[in-house]
Amino acid sequence: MFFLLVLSLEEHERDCAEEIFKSHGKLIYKIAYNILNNHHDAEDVLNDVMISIVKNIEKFLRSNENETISQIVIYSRNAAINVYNKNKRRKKSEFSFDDTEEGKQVFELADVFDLENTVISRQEFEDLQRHIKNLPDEYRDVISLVYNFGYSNVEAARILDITPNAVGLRLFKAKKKLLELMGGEK
Amino acid sequence: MNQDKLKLDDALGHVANVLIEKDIEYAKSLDTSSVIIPQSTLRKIRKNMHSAKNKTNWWKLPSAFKKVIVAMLCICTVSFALCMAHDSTREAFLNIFINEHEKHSDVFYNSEINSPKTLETYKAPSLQPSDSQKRILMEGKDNYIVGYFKNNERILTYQQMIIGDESSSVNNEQCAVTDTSVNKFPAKLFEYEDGTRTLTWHDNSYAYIIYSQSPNITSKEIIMIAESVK
Repeated sequence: MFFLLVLSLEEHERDCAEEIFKSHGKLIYKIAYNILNNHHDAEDVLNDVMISIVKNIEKFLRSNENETISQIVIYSRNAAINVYNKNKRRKKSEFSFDDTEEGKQVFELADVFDLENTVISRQEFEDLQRHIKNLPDEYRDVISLVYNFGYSNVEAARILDITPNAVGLRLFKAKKKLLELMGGEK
Repeated sequence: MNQDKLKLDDALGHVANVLIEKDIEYAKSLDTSSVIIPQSTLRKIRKNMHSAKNKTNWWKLPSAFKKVIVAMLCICTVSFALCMAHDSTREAFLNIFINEHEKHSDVFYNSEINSPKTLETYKAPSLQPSDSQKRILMEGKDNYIVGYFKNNERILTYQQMIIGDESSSVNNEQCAVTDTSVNKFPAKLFEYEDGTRTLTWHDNSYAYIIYSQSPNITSKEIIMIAESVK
């Protein structure tokens, strides 16, 4: 019974991955090509993204069509940016804060801004809805992965090719940026 | 949202779905109709996906198996402890190991006919090592032992005994064991690293052992001495 369950699950997962590949393979390629402007690199990104999808297939099994496309966009954009950075001999993303001066500043600021306990009013909530769309891609992606799709910092770190600490820092910086956009620091 | 105030984290949980809409908009804005991916690339990617899936399953399955194995080990451990709490089971269990060990260290003889329960006749080899003196060391009901001495040092021992439940114990460590025969009866020859030898056989009536305590006595000589037992 246990083995039948495992086998049926495997089949289901395989079908899901194959379906994504068939339906959205070209989208992944296109997103990558728009960033990299190179066919070979775009094909590599397509390969890497599909492998990432296979490894995180549980997230896609639980997602509807829109959520699947959103995750694909995030996966593809970040995989392409990583290839771009590697091509430029910048192995780490320019938004990795953990070992930069800026990262140190964020750590110091974390003591000043207790974001976990920050509360916002109804008016500010509406501002938040408006401003969140205007965040830079790297902030939006990490917020979406964590708050929309329930990725842990470690899982998000694998997708974004950064450290789990950097995911936390990116989240912190994103929230701080949002508060700034909303017109005040809480 | 019914509350007037909301924590930032909770608020993000509520509003983050607008990012999905933004991603959808972006995806729709891309024209993928002109995208052509070579079939060879698609095949390669499918193959890589399959490998990744297998790797994922490989890591996933053991975690499920681990739980099953741990549960089985717990059950086995408790069952074993309960069984060993009984004297009879413990004794039987230990006997299995003891018997198994004895099978490998001892030579057992099982007579096809009813062998005598006592030594009715003493048999001794008519041949003996040259220049040696023969001394009878034991003349018992179930054992007859003869020693052969040279310069007051025992160089060979001959033993005749009844075939019973007890086996003939022969040290089988650091030696080469050879199957041979003595007067057409199967025999085992143990040749030790220090040059000494032991030959043991039976003739359906009695069991015999010849030990050489001197490396100067060859296997051939020992077998000749054994074949002279009348």
